[in-house]
Amino acid sequence: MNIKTEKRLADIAVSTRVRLARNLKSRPFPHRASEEVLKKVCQDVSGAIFESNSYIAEEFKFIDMNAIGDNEKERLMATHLISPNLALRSHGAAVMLNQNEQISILVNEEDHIRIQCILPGLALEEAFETANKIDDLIESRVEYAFDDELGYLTACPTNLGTGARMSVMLHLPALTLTNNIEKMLYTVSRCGLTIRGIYGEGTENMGDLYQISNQKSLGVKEEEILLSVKSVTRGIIKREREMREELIEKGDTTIQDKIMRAYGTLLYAQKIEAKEAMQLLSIAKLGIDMDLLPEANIEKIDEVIGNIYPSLLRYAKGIPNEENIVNIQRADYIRQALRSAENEKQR
Amino acid sequence: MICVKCKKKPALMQLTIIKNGKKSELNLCEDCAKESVINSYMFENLITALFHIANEDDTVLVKADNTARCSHCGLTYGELSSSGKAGCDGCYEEFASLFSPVVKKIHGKTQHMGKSISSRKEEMRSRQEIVILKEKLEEAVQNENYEKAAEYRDLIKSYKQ
Repeated sequence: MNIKTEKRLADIAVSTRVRLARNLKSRPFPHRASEEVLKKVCQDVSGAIFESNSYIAEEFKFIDMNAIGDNEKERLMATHLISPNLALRSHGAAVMLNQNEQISILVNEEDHIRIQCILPGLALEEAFETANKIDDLIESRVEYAFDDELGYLTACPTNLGTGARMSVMLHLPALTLTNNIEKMLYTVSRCGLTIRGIYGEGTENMGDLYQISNQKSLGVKEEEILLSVKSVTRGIIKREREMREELIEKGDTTIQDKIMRAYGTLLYAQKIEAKEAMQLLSIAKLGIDMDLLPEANIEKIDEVIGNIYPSLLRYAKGIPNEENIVNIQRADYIRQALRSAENEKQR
Repeated sequence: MICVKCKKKPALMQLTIIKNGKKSELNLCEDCAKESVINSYMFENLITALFHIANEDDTVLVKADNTARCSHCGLTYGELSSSGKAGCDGCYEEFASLFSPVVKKIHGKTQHMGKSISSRKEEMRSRQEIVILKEKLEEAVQNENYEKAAEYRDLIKSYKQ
């Protein structure tokens, strides 16, 4: 595998996330718990981390959801470190974050504890191992709700058993452009996996980004879940790469036109919603990969994608349209970022 | 509320009996409700069924008591069936009959495999081993490999002892 294809593989698998859901024994789940109970849960979980003699203790900070502003909440949601569900809780919700922001422990979301590890690229083993370690650490200091038949008990029966959800975020512009995505989705569901939008239900296809994850968590071992997600992901990556090669070989002007128009819009638009921006940036990325946009810089595009997240709090509260001012600022930022990257390249 | 008959399990069902024009009500657990009615009437889905069978002068009415509560967190049967979310770990025991078909439908399986809490590790290991052996036994029987099947059966027996 040459350097370019290797880079492409990492480019298709954007990130990996492993989540473990846990609850404390004999305490009402967050949606039924009093303020007092929620507080006690926060104390117990943070205590389990901070009072452990592990080096991990020093890496974490405890953030009460009420102690941070909307902008920080937006950032944490966009990077998937917290969920909209946690951000909207009025009291007793918190997140514990490690320094490099790869591990987050959501306290009092749907379950008392949700341990998450998010890593770039396809890294299921590493992400699971990390989450598992944190799980052991917390378990050594609290008593988990567990049943011999049902496994780890969770508020929603869909998470029973291992409490594990393993997912990979994939960037699939070529499969989307060539209308092959439907077929792919069908295969995925037949393998017992599911596709979700990257910001929850209904955001499928945002920027051609798809999240593949296991649907079942009971009756299958963690290792089996990991393997099935991994092998299906590998298959999809292979198809996406083949589709890209095919597009390059065919030299289809319709696709070329689409790519150039997308880049043109990004360079000149005066206001733009996040969803449209993500879509255009996704197509531009494909264009760079196909060597159609020599003036553009892929790292810069990735940086821009990382910085222009949608107004997730507004979405979560059910306000569909973004504010005009935000859209104008976003367009300004994209124009400037892409132009400065072009100038640097020319120099 | 606890079942008036067995005085053990939560009374999730309300049985109304009208006999000779006289009405009496009983709060029973699902098992006792089933037992009380099954002998004389056809009785299938207790959770959703609203029973109304006239037998000459007698009428028996059985319905899920939506106000039955989890004795740990206070979640009602009605709340649980509408939200689908457990209120606490105790709900899984108290409302076991409601959860078990749901779990089966979602996951296709009923026995947890994989990691367990450290205090249950040993028990869980043999429990999970039995599940695997049972699957192998079934496969062996399907393939008419009875020698292997007998081997698995003996292994399962040894685990259960």
